[in-house]
Amino acid sequence: MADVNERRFANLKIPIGPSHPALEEPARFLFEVEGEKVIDVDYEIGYNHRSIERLCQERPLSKVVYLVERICGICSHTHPLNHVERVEDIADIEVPARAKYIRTIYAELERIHSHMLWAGIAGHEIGYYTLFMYTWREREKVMDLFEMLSGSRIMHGCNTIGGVKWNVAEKQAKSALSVLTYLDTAADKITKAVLKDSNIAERGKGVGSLSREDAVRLGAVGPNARASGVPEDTRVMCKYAAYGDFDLEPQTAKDGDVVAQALVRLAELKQSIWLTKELFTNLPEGPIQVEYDEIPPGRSVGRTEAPRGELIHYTETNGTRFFERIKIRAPTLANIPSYVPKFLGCQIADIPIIAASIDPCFSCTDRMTVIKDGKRKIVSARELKAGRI
Amino acid sequence: MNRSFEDAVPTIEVSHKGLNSYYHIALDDLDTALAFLNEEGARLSTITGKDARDHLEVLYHFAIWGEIHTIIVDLPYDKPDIPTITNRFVAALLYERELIGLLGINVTGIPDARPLELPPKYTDTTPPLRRV
Repeated sequence: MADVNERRFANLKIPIGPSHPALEEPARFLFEVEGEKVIDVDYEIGYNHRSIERLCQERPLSKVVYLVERICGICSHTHPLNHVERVEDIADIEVPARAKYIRTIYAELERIHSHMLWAGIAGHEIGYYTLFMYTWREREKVMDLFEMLSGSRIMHGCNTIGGVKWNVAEKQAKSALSVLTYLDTAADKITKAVLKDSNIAERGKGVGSLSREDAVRLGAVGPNARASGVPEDTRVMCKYAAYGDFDLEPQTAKDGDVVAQALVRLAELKQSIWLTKELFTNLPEGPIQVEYDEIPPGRSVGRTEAPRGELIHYTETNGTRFFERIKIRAPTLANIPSYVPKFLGCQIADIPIIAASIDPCFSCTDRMTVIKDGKRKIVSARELKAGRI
Repeated sequence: MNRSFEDAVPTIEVSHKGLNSYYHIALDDLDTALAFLNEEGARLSTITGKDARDHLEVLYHFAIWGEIHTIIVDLPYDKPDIPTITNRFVAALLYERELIGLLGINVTGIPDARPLELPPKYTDTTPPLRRV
């Protein structure tokens, strides 16, 4: 009888996703399990593919900044920031210092609310709903700040080629500083609630570990790599926007497990709050935009540090109204291969927290299915080429 | 980089701007270039595929701290074959699968040749990022 059961259950495969309560994002994982232990995993992405790279080649140059802003709701500043920096690099446009500071303020506020969102989701995945509600309540303060500065919680429409569209009034800076002082205390409380809690230590210590060697070998980026001790932070390495004016240290941990991921993100939360305060306090006077004539043919590749890690854009212009090629690699795509060593040997119950630990975002990563008037339609290559979606 | 790329690998065209360097090389020299970058501790950031109207281009973007070194290789339309680089850079797998699906480039020797983003039943013969 035992032999029959062994044969029946030896290669049990559990599909999770693309739509599953244990996975907030549309990816499909196929776990091969032995009892409760995961022994193999395969993944499939593409459920959110919108072909934005192709559309970037079909839209007039000036409209593409709006399109890249819509790649991701959470990173709706980092994508256009990287995009306009590439175009400015090609056209040798020198952006005013005040605009660089304002761009950095939005980028850091984005990191603060994203890391708070992650802490909440991590709490939700392990059933710690107090943490979920507490962090998401505090995150609303950041969203209100965004609304005060730009008029919208996401899709701020801040970046434009040559600078920024929204200035920061003195009254707004003062009010933002008082919110940031409040958030600094809140970040301390969140850190204490996470690191002093014995349940989180038990659910996260040694769970979903990634060694430094594997992180480097598999090309992991951002907090996911830093949690394994890889000290790479694009803000420090590339000094884009106003980051060159501040002395930042990459925040790292050693073990690469769920607790290490939390340690890194919470340290970055504090760091970002400090940096945003500095940016508001030292905001230079002057214009926020410069005019430019035309964009010459050229190419530029560059990186920005999105909340989830290194975001890379490759942009090529050809002297016409359209881009020759725009390639976008979001951090989640670089972090997907690191799921394999994280999942191998884990318990089924730990799958949701490990999946959430790298803070995956497939809107960024997938970029053909269109839902129109409530009907699902698969887009053909011909329609895609004609830009009819 | 500690050593000069141009001294170690034959190049067709080289340009530098700020933190970016671009090295246009022949397909036959790709493995030499990859071995050099591996020794220099470069990390593969991503791979871009491009339809340049009369040929295809593959651009490998490598990061060394703040710098990005891009290796450019041309492929003819009638024979878009390029060897996999997963033997030297494991992280290349997903980016090479993107090349297969979106540009119809034939990556030889790749351990997993499933297109990355497109649906499995996507049978239209023209890949989405091709211009013709």
